[in-house]
Amino acid sequence: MSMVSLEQFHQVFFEESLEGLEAMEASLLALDQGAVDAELIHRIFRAAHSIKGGAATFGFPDMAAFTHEAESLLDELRDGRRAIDGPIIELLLRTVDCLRGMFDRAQTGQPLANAESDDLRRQLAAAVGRTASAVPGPTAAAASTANGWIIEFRPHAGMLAGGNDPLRLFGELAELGSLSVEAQLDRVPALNALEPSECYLGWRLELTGTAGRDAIAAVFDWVEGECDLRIEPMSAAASSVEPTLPAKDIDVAPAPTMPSGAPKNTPASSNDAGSVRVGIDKIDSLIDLVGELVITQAMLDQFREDFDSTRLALLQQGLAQLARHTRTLQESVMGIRMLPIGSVFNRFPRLVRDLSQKLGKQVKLDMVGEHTELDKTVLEKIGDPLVHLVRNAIDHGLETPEKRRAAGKQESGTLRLEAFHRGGSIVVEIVDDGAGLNRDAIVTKAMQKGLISSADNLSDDAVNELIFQPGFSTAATTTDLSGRGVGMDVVRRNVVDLGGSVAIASRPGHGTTFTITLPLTLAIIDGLSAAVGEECYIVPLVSIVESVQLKADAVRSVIGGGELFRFRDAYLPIVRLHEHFGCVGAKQRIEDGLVIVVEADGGRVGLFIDGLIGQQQAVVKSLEANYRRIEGISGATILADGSVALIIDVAGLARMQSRRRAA
Amino acid sequence: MSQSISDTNTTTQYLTVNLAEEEYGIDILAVREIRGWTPVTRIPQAPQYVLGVLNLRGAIVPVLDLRLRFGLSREAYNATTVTVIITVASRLFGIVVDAVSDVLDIEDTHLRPVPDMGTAVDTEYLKGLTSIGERMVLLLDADKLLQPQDVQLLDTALNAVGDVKAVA
Repeated sequence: MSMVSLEQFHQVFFEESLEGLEAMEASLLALDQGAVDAELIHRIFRAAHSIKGGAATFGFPDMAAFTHEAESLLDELRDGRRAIDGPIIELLLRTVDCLRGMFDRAQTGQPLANAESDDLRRQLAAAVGRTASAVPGPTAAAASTANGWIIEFRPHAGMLAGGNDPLRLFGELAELGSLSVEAQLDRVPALNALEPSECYLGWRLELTGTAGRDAIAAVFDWVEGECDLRIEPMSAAASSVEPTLPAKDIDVAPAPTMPSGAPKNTPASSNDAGSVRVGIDKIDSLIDLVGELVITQAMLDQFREDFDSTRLALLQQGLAQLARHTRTLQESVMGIRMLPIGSVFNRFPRLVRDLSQKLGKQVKLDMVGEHTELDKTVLEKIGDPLVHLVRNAIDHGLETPEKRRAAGKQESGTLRLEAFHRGGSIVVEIVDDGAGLNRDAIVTKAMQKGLISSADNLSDDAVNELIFQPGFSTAATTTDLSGRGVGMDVVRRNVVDLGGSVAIASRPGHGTTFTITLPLTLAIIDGLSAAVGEECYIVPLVSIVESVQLKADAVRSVIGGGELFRFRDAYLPIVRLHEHFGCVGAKQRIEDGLVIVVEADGGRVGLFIDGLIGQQQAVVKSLEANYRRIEGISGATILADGSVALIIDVAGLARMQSRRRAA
Repeated sequence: MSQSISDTNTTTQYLTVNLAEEEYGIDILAVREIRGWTPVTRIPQAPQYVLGVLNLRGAIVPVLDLRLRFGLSREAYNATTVTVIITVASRLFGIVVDAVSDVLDIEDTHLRPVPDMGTAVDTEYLKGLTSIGERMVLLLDADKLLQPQDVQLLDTALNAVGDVKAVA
């Protein structure tokens, strides 16, 4: 069989293997916490085995050899020949990390093995060797009663169609011992009856060595159900050469570790996110469809308010459109953009373990609501802020066991990650039962930094807010604070970029809760449609503070042509949209139109528009896809009548305004 | 792709459109769709010939008026005014022309270079001309219509100005 087209499967192999590694890591961490479950070891073994087999098939011999060592060690664990202890788990976790590194390098085409992997490989080999010599005799007896095995391997005619390559199987067997192969040609038909895609050959293999029956059976995992297989100890088989009966598909001593079909289910067992693998283009076309559906619905909605028989044709047209969109949507429902947040949460058990060990703290991690689904884009970008918050919670929030004991709390602190739906948003909470924020320390810090002049009138909430201020603190100075603040402004900015918000609640001595609220999706926003001249612009609802009607004398002109108006206790600049966007026919006098106070990047400006038309959901479309970016515009959407409206980029507009004033 | 096979006659199909009494050809493989003129949404900070954007089944597509692009004036949009949607380098844009007229098979060997002549059109946007009987057809180079060098230069200049301001 040729190796030509294998590269196209590399990506799938990488993805599956990375899932396998995740499963390995999760299981190892569960074992580390004292879970005693044979299934966990089996899961780890299966993942390693799949990676080894895949690596050998797809031409990554270094990876295969490396994983082989890990597999040997796992094999001992699985057979109970060796107890699982801390050092072994540590070693295997490092193996997982090392394999991740190999996959990274494989994706960029660099050599897989490096000094680290070679070193680890030797350690693994040494670990295996130690037990083999330390525990001789009886434990190995089950595995190698005979000096060898006779394997009758009779593929079914269709086996090759499944992509299974007998040569690869034999290659794997040859790793287990010395192998001799004899082909059996009795089923090969006459040439004119021969179907070239079918497999007529059978093989009789003799494997001498100490390999166990399980190890041999494992080689044939992938062809299970597609062949007749007999594995017999060499001495027994020598006397009875009976023909293979196809009565049972597979005639191996029941391999308890390998329930049928198990290898395929491995990644799916712990998190279902892993099995969603959809091309982004398919997903985007689906979003387009949903957008069109929304538009069609809005169009039909118009008929509810005023309908007469003259518009019947339009109604029918709209209904036909609705039917078409619904059908297309149904057909393309293969692509699903929403993924469970569990795929982000997955990294935390390891992080928490490593960090708590390093800091000498005891942390119990609770994760709730891993199945809550989030938009893929949001999901990809929320990982880093969450890591930041979790790290902070362990570093600064939770106390050492001694301090906790002194405070009358349990020695091990609890860190809870919870995700759930609230309204149209997703809420992620990071809750610790640590010391809480230290008001005095924050106030001192803020005064040092000149952020506040005095803390007398500040509520606790206002003080807590200070940690989100840019430049509030740096990593070097926070470690001596019991409060937090390592780059919290970055966390907030990332979340705000996603259209979300971060809130903080803290009780001294009882812990701190960070609440991240995120939109379900970036693809649809809530907006107000604003009229400017004959045109209509969408202002994102999240950035709107208030809309006010100003009297002419409420506006102060300042030198340089700027205009300011008084809003609450501040003077805000007025941005005349029609001037920025060059709209014709717009209202010129402030008292005729409306000023919407919008907030972006912490600053506020007033947008002067003719009036508000209404609130609507806008499906965000890219202008850059076919055109280019326009300053002050974040995208476009399609209105109920099928025409296009532009969405205002409030932050960009505010920047334009300040530049204009500077100029 | 046909240039490499020089001794066989390859023909390319062109969609011809009318513009200010002249006939222009567009490689038909670049033409995605022909639709009647519909008003578009104006976009700010665009060159004058970019009329705005329209909704092409969910995609936002810029539309430029070929008359304005070539420095002519646009009197009115009437019943024959059409928007031809074109794909260039997987980007979509629409061009507004007076009317569509024909589909022609033109042998590549019949392509003539464009003399520097008194047509309304800057020769930069043409890749050749050919004659069909008494008619002369000017073949448009679609790649150069939306993002000609001047627009790109302008963009870079604007960005540079923006950066300076941001630093200041």
